[in-house]
Amino acid sequence: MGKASTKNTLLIVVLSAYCLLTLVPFYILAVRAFTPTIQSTELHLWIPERRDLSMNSRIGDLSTIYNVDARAFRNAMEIKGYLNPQLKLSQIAEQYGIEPDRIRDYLEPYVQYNGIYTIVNNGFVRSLIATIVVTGASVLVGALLGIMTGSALAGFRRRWHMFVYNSYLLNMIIPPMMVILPQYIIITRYLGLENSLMSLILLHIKGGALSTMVFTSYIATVPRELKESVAMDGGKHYHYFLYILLPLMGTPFAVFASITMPWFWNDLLHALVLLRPDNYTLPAFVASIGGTFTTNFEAIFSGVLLSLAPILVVYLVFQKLFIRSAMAGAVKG
Amino acid sequence: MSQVTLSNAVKRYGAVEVLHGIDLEIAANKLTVLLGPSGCGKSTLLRMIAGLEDISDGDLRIGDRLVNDVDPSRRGCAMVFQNYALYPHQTVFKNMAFPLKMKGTPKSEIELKVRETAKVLELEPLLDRLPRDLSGGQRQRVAMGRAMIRNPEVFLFDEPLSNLDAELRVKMRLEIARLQKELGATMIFVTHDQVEAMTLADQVVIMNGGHVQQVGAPLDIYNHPANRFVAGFIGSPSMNFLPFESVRNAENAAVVRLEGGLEIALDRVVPDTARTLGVRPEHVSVGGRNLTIPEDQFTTLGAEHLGDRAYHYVRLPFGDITILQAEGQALPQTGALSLGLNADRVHFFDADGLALGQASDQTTGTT
Repeated sequence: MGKASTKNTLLIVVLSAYCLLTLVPFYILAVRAFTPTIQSTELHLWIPERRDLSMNSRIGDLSTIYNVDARAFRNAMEIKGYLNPQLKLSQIAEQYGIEPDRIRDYLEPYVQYNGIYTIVNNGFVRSLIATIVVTGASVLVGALLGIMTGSALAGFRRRWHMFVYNSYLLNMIIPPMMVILPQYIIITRYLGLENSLMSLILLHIKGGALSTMVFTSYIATVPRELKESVAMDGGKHYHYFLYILLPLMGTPFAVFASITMPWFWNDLLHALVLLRPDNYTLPAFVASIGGTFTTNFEAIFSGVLLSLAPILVVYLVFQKLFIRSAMAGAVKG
Repeated sequence: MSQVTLSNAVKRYGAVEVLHGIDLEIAANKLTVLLGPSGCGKSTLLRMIAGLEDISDGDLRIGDRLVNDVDPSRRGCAMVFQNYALYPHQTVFKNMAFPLKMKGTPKSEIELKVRETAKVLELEPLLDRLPRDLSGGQRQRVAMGRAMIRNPEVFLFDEPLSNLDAELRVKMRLEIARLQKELGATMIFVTHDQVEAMTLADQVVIMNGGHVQQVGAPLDIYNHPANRFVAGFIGSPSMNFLPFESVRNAENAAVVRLEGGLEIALDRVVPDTARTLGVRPEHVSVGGRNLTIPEDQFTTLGAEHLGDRAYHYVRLPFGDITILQAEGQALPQTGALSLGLNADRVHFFDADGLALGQASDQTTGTT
């Protein structure tokens, strides 16, 4: 007994260590989201202390480093005309007769929570909604198509079923980069889906190699007596599909969704190519935060961190579906 | 309630014919068992009646209605599958309500009918459970409830008891027999278990190789098998078959010369065309005077002791025979083995395996 418990303890220690190791990058990402860009070349294991906003800093530098929108600042401070970027904050206060505290209150959040503040102010919520729409629609429609294909192909009762199945799988080995230009032309020129979220959804559900694979193999395990029983009970095929097959697809859906959702959620390339900034999904939006001449790393990491949160929640919800065996009890077991 | 009539029903899969022109009348309000070895086509026949398989040729009538091309749900049949085919994500209540829901029955009526059926099957406390939380016997009863709820004209059972353990099987067997009496419905029951067939059936249909071999009441079939296949298939252990060379008939007596030279003296006439003698183990007795086997011509192969009786296996020059003895009675260890055959219970088969010289009052289908 002593030997077995030592073995168990060792196993738990090793597994926990492995678990921690995989979590380290996430931790560092989280710390980075709150590390000022100016310190981004150093590895921080804890959020570093912030310096307070100095009234000696130049407004131009603040724009460059902290993504302060100089025009918005001018409007907020009711400054008319040209604002010299070389002016220090104290000079602005003096020159335009503005209370220094008013300037400080306006700029302080930029300095203290620069990452989150920049992301949220520049349209994070809009991009989040766009991403949820694209990912949700892609996963749901993709799964539905996969279930329909799967229920037709399951069991490979005809020779051409295998042929269709294999041709679907072929789709997986074509690198998406290779076809991005023809895709762009087809989508914008012939389908008229320029700058439309629909274009992304369409690309995600096309082919459907993975969904076909997952659902076909799972539906093959559903006893055919269930279908026959529905037929005997007076149900049509769509009754079987709606009342019996769809409710049983929880487990394969969890598998399918948890594999494809990160792809769809993190799809940068297609979003950059097919959308304009006003419609960007999260990855494209986060990428666009990096400016032309400087890069606000704090904002980028904050954006990545914030865009991870929703998908993490969904993942935890799906865990339950994995564990449960949906088919238990259908037949003698 | 309706009878089911098949005339010249054929089933082909591509070029392969698995059922060769079945002519069969399944009596109304009776329990008919389709019995046969694996692959004999009994399940296919049942599925054809259910409408799950097309009929390649011939006619199928339920009642007076020709139903060859009628949708399964409109044939008035309900089926209980071997693996029950319960809908795994639905509660017992919803499983049983499903056929009514498909028919568009109002909710209040569904509720009433499900409760009523559940009461008959003693399923009331289980109505909110999922199939995975039920035992094998309970699942079986739910499957029967789902079949009963539509008041079908014909019940079809596809080996429904083969997934249960021995004790439960006996219980469910009685349950099905009771339901049949109560509902007075036409039931067709497929099995490969002859005990089920013998105990349940009003009428047994023996099938082999896509042909109906014999139709009749269980005991009729046991006592008067129509051919060698039926004789060997029904009864366990199997009937003894003794192939013979020639017969010398006298008045009310005959001497049968077996292959290998042994002779059997019988107090009855043997048909001239007979080539094989068949006799069940229980109709062979040790110490009789019909057949005497010299010491050097037989070896005992062993015995199966069942408590009250024992089957002794003996190897003879022309094959093995089985003898039923009461427990405690052994075969003689030395000397010749003399056997008695119950002359009234001896069967004769011609070269084609057809039974001869029997009271031919039973229906016989031939190969």
